[in-house]
Amino acid sequence: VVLAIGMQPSVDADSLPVQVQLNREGFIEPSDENGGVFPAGVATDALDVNRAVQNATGAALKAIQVVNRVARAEG
Amino acid sequence: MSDEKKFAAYICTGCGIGDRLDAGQLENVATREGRMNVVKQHEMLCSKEGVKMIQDDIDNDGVTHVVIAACSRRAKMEAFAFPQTEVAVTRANLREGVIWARPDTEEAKETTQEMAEDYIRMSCGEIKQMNPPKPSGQQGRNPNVLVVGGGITGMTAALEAADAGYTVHLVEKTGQLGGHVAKLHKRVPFRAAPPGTPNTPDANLPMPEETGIGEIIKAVEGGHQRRVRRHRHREHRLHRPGHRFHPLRSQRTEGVQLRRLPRRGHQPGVRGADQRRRRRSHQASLRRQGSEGRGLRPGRGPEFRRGGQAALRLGRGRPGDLRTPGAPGEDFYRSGQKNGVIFTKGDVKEVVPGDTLTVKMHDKILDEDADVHADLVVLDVGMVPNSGPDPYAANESLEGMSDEEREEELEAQAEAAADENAVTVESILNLDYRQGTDLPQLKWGFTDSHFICFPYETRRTGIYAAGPVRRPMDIRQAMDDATGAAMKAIQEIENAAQGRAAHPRVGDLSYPTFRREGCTQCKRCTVECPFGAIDEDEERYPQYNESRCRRCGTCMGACPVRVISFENYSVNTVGAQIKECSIPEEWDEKPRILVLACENDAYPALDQAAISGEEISPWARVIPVRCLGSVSLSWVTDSLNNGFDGIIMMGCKRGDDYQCHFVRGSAMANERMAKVGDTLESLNLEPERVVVHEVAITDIERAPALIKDMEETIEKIGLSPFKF
Repeated sequence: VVLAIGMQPSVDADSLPVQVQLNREGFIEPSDENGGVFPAGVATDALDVNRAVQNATGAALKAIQVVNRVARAEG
Repeated sequence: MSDEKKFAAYICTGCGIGDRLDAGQLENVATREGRMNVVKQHEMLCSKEGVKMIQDDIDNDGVTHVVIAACSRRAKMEAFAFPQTEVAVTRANLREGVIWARPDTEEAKETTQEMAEDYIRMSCGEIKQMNPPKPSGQQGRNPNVLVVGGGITGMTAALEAADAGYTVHLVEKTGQLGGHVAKLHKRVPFRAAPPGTPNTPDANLPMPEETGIGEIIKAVEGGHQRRVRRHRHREHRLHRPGHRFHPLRSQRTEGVQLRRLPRRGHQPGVRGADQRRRRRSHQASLRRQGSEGRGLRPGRGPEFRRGGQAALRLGRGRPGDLRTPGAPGEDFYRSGQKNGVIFTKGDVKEVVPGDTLTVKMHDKILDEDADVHADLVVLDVGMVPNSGPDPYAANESLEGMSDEEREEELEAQAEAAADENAVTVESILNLDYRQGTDLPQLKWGFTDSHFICFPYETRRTGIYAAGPVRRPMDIRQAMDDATGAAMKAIQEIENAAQGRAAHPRVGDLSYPTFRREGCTQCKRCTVECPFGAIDEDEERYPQYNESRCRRCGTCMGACPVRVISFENYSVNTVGAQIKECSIPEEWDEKPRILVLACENDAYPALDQAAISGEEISPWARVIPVRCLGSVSLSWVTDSLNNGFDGIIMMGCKRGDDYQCHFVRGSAMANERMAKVGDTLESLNLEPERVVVHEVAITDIERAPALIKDMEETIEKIGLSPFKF
């Protein structure tokens, strides 16, 4: 008998330097209010491998956007 | 830098190499047999001092070619990252390849040392055939991203790339932004319930929300941060990604003039989600409002839309398969229940019209026939990608046909194409490739892109598929996907800026060239390149487009006259390794097994096997290859002639669910190796001596076992008679 498994986030929001938006399940909601913190993969939701990869690639770009924006501002 | 070559070998004695092997003897081999100009030992080559020793020799002693005999080429890559264009570097794998793969016993000592000496010989042979790659200057920096398709995916990709500081050109065929999402009334909620929401049936749960498409369209039309430029035109043509982009008969353009687009450098792009949806009548998602349906008018009011949304969202997938992915999906499902949507599961047999609709179905949960009365039946939608014509579809339909059948089929195809009522698939990208105008497809018309190992990558370098053109997906996933694809396009822009290869040989500066005098214009390279990187020039010689090339070497493996090579990887670099490997006399009873292992999966699997303590046969000599597709038939013939007793080729999984990093390389190799039988027959050798295996990176127990199998086979059939 193989039982279906659920996924629980292992996000410890208190240990993050900024306050992030969580949902009822404890996953981090992607949000502008998270500042420079971009959740990726199963930190954002119960995802399969494919969606996690998708999500993570996008999250990498979000972080690069911040770096580039700061670099431009500092010119 | 002078053209004079100076060869140096550095032997690391750290990590137990010095304890297990006779390093002095290895030095002798490198000096006497390998004919290296400089040979040095170091107790920890990857340390600062070790690397400095090598760097000093490069700077002060004119060393141009370096053999590093230490750990696997997959380890300590940063430490040994000498400037690619100045020095050629190869690695002899003494750690994972020898001492970790062999037991530390007195009996094994002799064969272990022989293994190490062979790897030194092989690397010394290889390095003499290698040269530092010279930049071609074909590529340059071009910070423009072209997005094809103005739906939710295309627009998201455009905005995200613009946010990262790149100029974006968005092309939408219809002239109307928004795509399918603009036609939706609401979308399923993106977010799950906020913290503190009680887990009770009457809790407030996220409901369908505004699609938000208006804001996105506004941002794109407003030229978001002055970086998004919209182009409206019907026809455009992409010509060699590395070179230029010029439209044909553009009708109207907005924003920048197309002719002002930079002419040099790479032109990566992101394919948008211009997909059509088609109703599939046999897949019905049922929805019932209340018990008897209280006067719901079809197509009106938020109640209907909401229910329709529920069916749309939940009913996707295989028949009878409801999916509610993630926390938002589950909350949305619950909010549907809360709002009176009853979910049931079954096979629909018939929908009977009347005052209300009666759906006759077999309830799968209760395993009984049931009638459901409904005011409205919403059918599940499927997704059909709008990928344009598949460049290889015509060829595939001809596979396995006799000449006569082929002729008939071609005639039928021509007739069908000539029929004016025929539905012709319009090209989307109008690529100017010898191998067709659009992206190659895998299954059901979706763009060929490995969805787990290397998503977004298509078989056209610099073009990344995003959204439902790649696989069916919902709005939220498509937006994630668009962001990821924008990331890939930006990566490629930055790689091209430095003349470096894209995935999976990221950072590689070498690219293939061919010797014109030897070329017979057989076109095998142009036909077999999995990425359509090679065209033909006016004189019908192959014309390489560096910016399309992934450096897999499939062209090299295809070339029957061996004129195609990379500066640091060629028929000769591997040929030299095969030649330099010592073949013991027949009465020594020490067989030699050549393993040509794909550097992406099989080679790391063997490394990992050694790390995990698996033993690898002492008779094996492993040579990493860029892809099994790059394997030249001459390597097989040469090694058999040199007295190798068995040859194992390890490549990635091929077929529809391929894992080959170069998509078709492994499949090509398999097709070509079917011809090896003739070679074996002509040499009067047993067919079992040459095998091709599919090996995944996780096959850490299986990979050494396959070598062991060959050892046993050789024991059975005897050593090769070609030992001199």
